[in-house]
Amino acid sequence: MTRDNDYISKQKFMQELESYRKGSVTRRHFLNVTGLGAAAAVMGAAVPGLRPSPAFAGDIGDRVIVATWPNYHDPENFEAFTEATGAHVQVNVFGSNEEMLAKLQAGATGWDVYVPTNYTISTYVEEGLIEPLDTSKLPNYDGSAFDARYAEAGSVDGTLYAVPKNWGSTGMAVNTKHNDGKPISSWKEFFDIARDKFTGRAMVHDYQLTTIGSALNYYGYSFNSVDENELADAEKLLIDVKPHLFAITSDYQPSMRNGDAWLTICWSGDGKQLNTDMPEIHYVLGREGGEIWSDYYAIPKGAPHKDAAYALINFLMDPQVNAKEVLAHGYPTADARTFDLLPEALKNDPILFPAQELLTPLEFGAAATLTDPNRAELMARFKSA
Amino acid sequence: MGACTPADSKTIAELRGVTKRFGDVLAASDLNLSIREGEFLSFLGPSGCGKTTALRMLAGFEAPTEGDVLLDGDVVNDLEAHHRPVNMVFQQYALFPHMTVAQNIGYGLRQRRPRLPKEQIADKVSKTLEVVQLGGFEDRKIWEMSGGQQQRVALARAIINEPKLLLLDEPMAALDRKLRKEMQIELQDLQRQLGITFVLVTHDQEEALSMSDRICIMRDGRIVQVGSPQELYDRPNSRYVADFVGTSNFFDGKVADQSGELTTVCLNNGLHVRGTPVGELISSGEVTISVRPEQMTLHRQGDGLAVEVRNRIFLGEHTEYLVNHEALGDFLVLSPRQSELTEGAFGVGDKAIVSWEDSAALVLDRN
Amino acid sequence: MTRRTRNWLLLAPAGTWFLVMLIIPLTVVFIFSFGERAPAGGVVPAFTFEQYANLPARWAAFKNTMTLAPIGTLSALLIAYPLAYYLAVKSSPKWKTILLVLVIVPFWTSILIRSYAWIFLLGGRGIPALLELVGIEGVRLINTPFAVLVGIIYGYLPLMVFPIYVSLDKLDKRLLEASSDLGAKPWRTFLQITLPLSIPGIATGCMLVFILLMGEYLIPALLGGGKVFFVGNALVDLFLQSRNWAYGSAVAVTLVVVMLITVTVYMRLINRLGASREDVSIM
Repeated sequence: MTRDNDYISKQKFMQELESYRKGSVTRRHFLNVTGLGAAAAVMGAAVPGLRPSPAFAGDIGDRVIVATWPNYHDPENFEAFTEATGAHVQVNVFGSNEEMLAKLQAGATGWDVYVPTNYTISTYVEEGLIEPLDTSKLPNYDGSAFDARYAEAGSVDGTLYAVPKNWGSTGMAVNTKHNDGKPISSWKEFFDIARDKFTGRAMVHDYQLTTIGSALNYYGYSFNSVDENELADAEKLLIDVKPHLFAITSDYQPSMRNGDAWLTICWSGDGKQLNTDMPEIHYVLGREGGEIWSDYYAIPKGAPHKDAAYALINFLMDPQVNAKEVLAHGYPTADARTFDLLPEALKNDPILFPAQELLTPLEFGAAATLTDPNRAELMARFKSA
Repeated sequence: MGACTPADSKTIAELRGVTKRFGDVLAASDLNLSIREGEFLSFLGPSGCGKTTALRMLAGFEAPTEGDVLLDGDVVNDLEAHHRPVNMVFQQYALFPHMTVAQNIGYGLRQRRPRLPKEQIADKVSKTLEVVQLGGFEDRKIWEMSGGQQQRVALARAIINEPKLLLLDEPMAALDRKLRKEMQIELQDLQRQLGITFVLVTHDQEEALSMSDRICIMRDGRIVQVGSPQELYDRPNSRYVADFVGTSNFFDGKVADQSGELTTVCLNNGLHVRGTPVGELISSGEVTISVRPEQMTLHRQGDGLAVEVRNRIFLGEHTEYLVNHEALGDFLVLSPRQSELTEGAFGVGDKAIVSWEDSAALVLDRN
Repeated sequence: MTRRTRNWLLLAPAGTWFLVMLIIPLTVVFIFSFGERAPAGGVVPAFTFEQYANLPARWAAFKNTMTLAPIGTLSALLIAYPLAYYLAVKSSPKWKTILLVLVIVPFWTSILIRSYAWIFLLGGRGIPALLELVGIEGVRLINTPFAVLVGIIYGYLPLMVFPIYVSLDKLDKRLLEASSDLGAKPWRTFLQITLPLSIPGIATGCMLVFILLMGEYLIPALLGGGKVFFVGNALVDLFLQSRNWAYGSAVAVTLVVVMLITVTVYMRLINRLGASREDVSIM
């Protein structure tokens, strides 16, 4: 998945690991928790030989700095943007929404564009960390083209703060080879088989939202629950499961690929990639529910290259460009114009676009779920147990 | 001094045809030497002559490439140092910096098995400290001791073990001149007192001459001559030894007649001189005549070499003249006070005649 | 320029650095530790000991750190010492240079990439697969405390080797000859001379490794699969995930205090060992 491109040296770094990792594109990749991805990207920009010379010097400046998730873009699109505008795209990648929020709260990030998930946007607005968008500077954005479910979180109190990038679901990936060819279909099965037949082979995310959410789903509770008793149940389950887990990690593709692990909580894009390369790995949504989410483009308050930020978002809103993005990252788009440009096979892909009845029980993460201190502390207790 | 060592005393250590190579470097070649019990033997030679290698083979730090090292009649070529009843005083003393004086000195005793009682070790350490005149210094740290004191500690650390051989590797090189003189005398006293066989390595001829019963002169990894200081001084077997031991004047020439008891040598200026042959002269007849300055006499007239006085140094008991001969160049003459009184002193620029007894002129191999 | 001004100028860069990068941040962290978590994350000023009262919730992290850091340090020492000894005392000058370079070479690569290599080696297709070939089945290495220990030893070995190497290299080899000459068998020479004289190197190496290990979080995260949790990991989570700066600061302050206490006790111990070297040498 990682295309060879020298626009950031992160790509080279990823290649080093590729033979083993076989192109993991986990969204909240561990590397980013280490900050190394960001450091490498900054370095890449600082080395003159690694920077393309612009075709012309546009008046939007010579650079635009993007905070996003790993392997979430088509590098060729960024190259094309640089060629067209002269602004070099500098990419910083992150491990979690919490981390992104923490960095913005600490201040002076220097970011021009960032990619928040639906449930974080209201918090950014409350904290005054996000810039309202001027749609006149985004001619390629057409609000009516988007499925409202995946676009509505971008507006708070009638003001547009963020435009949809793509959406996805959080389910589970299971290697059916070890379960007599049968997939599993519920969170109940997930946590039960993890303690039984799949002991030492299952993984949960190093991310409170999805890991606690899945444990809550086990009991039929809401993915977003902040109810004390329900959280206590979830904690009990997680701590009971922990000794049986292979790992608590958001970088689960390598272990799934090399056969060390057989089961994991999984984002749909990863599920798609695993399934494509290893058909015995199935991506399924939990019958009880789970998460559905949507990522957005936004501009942080005090962005140093605001014109370039608008130019880049507008560029990425172009359906032709966005279609290429979808082909690169494997997540579904909410933009009907882009959808129409996708190959037929992808339009009917059950992982990208699951049947409606499977989507119905899924919930969007809530802002309170992200910022709830009890959930954060529960996760920490689980990890250090 | 040789008198105190009976010549017929038994051999305590021996080198038999010992050769040592370090890679391509020949450090010692065909060494043959018997060390007698109770004697004070010195290896003398310039640096790199192989004397330290010889000592290290006796200590057990090096094994000979060829030949045998014997201790008390046993071949010990491969016996490691810690099994040999031999101790060494190292050049820079090699005292253990993390131990006190007493711990350093008692180190050897603490290695003994079965263990010696602590009190016995402490007692012996104190006594040994007395012997080297450092009584009461037990608890001092090594770095608190002066160079001379450290030397005594090193000595005490070695002799406390009552070794069959005490090896001393340039033990006084780090001391100043005055201290060195004192230590030389002390070492000799100590050796007589303890009766231990001492083997000293030095490049200082004065040190070797003043302390040793016998001296083994080495050059380029070979033993050149072994003998008492007097023998080496009076009967050096080569120009090298004559030059290394004491001071001598050398006149190069060719053997003209070897028929009699004395050899006649034709010097480079055509002058014929008679002398006593020492050792084997090489067949080419290229030899040198060696005459010690004190065996030459200066006269106003008579037979001998006509010279001019170039310099005069009054030394009290003697007067040292630097004289010049037209063909033979500069050489030294040492005149006793007595002859000055009878003959009268010579001044710089005076003409004089130099002569010597035939027996004082040694005919030596030129090398 | 007076000497006084010159001295101040010499100290100014380091002093400023310390002030800006160490003293001020530490003070800030100390102040934060008495605060409370802001509703959306971060910190609001307060004066409460609540964060410190909550420390037992991170007991496991402290326990893991305080167990694996000493074990890791000790294991690194046991592996590094013979290597350093060989390098300094036994190897020929030619090999010495080559081997020293080999010890340094891993430092040219990021610890991250090197740890990824271990993920593979310890993973199911690595060493366990080899063990299966010889009939030892079901060995699980990755994501265990053992894997973390392996990573720690591997990552920190050069830091242990070098100080010990330096102290052994400085060691006057004639002292070893002197010891042998005085009748000490090789292992007694080692115990009585080599080992005591290399204590400064051992002390430095252990201190370096131990202090760094106390703050380690990358290796447990990568090789422990998120299941072996150090204080460092707890801190990363508190600041970057749950954004509870107040509690994170309290944990950080506690870690610094624990570290200071440990290092002080350790220094005392080393000093006492140095002072009573007679016991060491009389062994």
